[in-house]
Amino acid sequence: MKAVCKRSSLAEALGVITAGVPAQAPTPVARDVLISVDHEGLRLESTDLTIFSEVKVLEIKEAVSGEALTPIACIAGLVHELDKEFITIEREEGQFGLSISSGNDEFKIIGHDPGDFPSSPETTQCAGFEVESAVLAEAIRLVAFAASKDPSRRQLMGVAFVAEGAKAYFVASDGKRLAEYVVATAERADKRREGILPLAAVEAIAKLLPLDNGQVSIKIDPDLQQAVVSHERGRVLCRLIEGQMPDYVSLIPSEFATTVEGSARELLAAVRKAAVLTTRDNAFVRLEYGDGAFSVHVSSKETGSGVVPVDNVTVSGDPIVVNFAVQYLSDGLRVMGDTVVRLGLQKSDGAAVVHGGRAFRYAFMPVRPRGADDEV
Amino acid sequence: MAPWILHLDFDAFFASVEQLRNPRLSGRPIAVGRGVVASASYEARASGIRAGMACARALRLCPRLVIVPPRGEIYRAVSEEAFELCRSYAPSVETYLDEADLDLTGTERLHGGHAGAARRIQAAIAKQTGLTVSAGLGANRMIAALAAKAAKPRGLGLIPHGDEEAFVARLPIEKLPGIGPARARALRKLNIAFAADLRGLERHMLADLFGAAGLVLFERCRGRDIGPCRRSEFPRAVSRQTDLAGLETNPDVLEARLRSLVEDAGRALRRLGLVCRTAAVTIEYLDGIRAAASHGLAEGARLDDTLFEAALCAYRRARRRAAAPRGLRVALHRLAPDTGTVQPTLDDRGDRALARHALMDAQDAVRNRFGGGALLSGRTFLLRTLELRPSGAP
Repeated sequence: MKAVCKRSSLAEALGVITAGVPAQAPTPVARDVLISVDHEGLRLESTDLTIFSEVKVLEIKEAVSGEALTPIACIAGLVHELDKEFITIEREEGQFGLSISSGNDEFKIIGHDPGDFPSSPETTQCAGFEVESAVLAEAIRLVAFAASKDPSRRQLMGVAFVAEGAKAYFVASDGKRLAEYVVATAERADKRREGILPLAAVEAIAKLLPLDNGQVSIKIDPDLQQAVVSHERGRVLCRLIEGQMPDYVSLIPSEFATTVEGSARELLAAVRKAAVLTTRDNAFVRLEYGDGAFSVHVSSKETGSGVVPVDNVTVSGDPIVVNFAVQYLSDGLRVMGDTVVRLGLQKSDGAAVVHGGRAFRYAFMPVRPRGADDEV
Repeated sequence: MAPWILHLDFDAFFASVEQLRNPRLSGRPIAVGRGVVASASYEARASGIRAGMACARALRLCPRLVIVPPRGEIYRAVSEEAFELCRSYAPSVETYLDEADLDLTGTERLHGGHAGAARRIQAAIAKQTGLTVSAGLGANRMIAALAAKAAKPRGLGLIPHGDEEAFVARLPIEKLPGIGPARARALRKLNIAFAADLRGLERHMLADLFGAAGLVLFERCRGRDIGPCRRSEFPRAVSRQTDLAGLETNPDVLEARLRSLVEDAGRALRRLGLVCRTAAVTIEYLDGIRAAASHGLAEGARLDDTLFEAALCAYRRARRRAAAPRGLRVALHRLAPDTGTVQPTLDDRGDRALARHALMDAQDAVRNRFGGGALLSGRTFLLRTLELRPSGAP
């Protein structure tokens, strides 16, 4: 097996397949990458037995068919450090080791029998839906941050992909907040299909999606407990997270006591200013609207207090005082970038919602004091 | 502003706790330890028994000696209860298992004199726990600790400002913190027996002899100590452990024991006004092998159910052997002040969470008033039924 390819293309491909590999892989095979060269070109594959990632390396100069299996860390490290434009990967007949050379640099790295690499599981034949790759990348960027990181709530440690009618919904939640992005699909789905893809797989998918506007096919098969996301450059196949995400979407309110409309960046800047005086253990800010003025307040016994008036916003509705965790509030504003958002607020016990256009909703709960006092 | 540090040191702590809990041991020579004496009562000390001595030798010295196995979880609970009192007297308190340093600097007007405050704290601890503490007041932590040692048992030693050098000068070098048996031997070979003698050595000579520790000794033999009280408002961990003697393998009973430990630790956590982000479990087996695991929490927790869920995850990861454990320990780490707030979930709006916290506080109030056994959770009720079961019954 031999391939001469552009270093940057190989590095990009390795970036995709390492995204799905846990830092401390539980099985030896998850630490390896399968390198295959055939008539279709150079292809890299990795798996931790729950997520299979496969990606093509573009810009190959020379290719001789064959396969090699080698540790991802070694090859990724070398490709990162080598500085010449092209890299040659070669495996001699009858040996598992791999030669990697670039310019005058030459390395021989350990290899394993390519036959040890598990074959990818049976792939679902169910009907899927298609969206533009840039749209899917945007959907993942907008919702994945809200997924739970708590291992005791496994069904929330992923992003739900739902296809219904001519729309696809991408939803992530940790139980206390929820982000939802709705996109139009190329065709109507024959029936509702949904599955929760683990965050590691979602991360691999995000890296797979190029910035140009190709189509991505998404197939979700609850019977096989499998999702396959394919693009002309590669594919990610994963086991779905078992269980169902609670129906939090139906709990998102549509009516609010107070509505604030303004630039997400300016609102975020005000929250960040106030957050300077919060501490890790007391990371709350208070949003207040009264006497026609909207402001962000902070108060901490350890650091002090402050008020940040926010002028360039349009506020309508009742006067309100409500407390939020800085992280929950700022995460929703940060992903919106420069766009104008509508922040719907309810009295202290109801969810607040950030609306970004018609497609994006981010609901999050305010902080409630345990005592009778309304101030945190 | 002149610095004033109050050092508190329980008198024969472990032994006193055992005598307090078991009146039959009161007035008798007892030692707490397993193989080696960890603490000896004053009655035992009269026979020459000291901490660090082998139990066999202690028994030869005092055949009437009663040796009690140590119960760390009880000593820790007593110590936490006592030192919690200290936090209302001083803005900065640093606590250890049987010692505490209180920074009383600037509190003269509040307490009406440091000696009076020290006596009030000693009396309050005695009233609360039934145990006596010795106290020392001085310009720094070392002087306060040495004054407390000199005033043992149950006394109060006060070293006025300016007398530190004279007070330290007459102490044997072994009494200075930082001088163990090896360093003492090295110094005695140089004919240095007292702190005053140590002052004859130049700074660089001490540095040559003991490295960086020598520079610290140069200051200490002059009555100076640079270490301030750490502004630690709360302990690094709250832990509880139990001795199972390697007799229990029933998973339900072991998990009930775990729950009981978590409930004890959780109550202490809430009493200190803290939340924790990690629960760690250590299982010790009869062959000395220890297995430990921890489970992190996404946000600070204070409810028993949440703490138990985390501890159970850690316990199930740590429990890889079928053998009966000798001991079980739960430690709550990554502590932070309780902010008194709840982050509700989308489907709850916070009402259920608030109710759970209110219920927990009510349970604590009942247990604080009527004892830990006044209210039992479903899981720990199993332990009560085992205690009531006649011996030999299935």
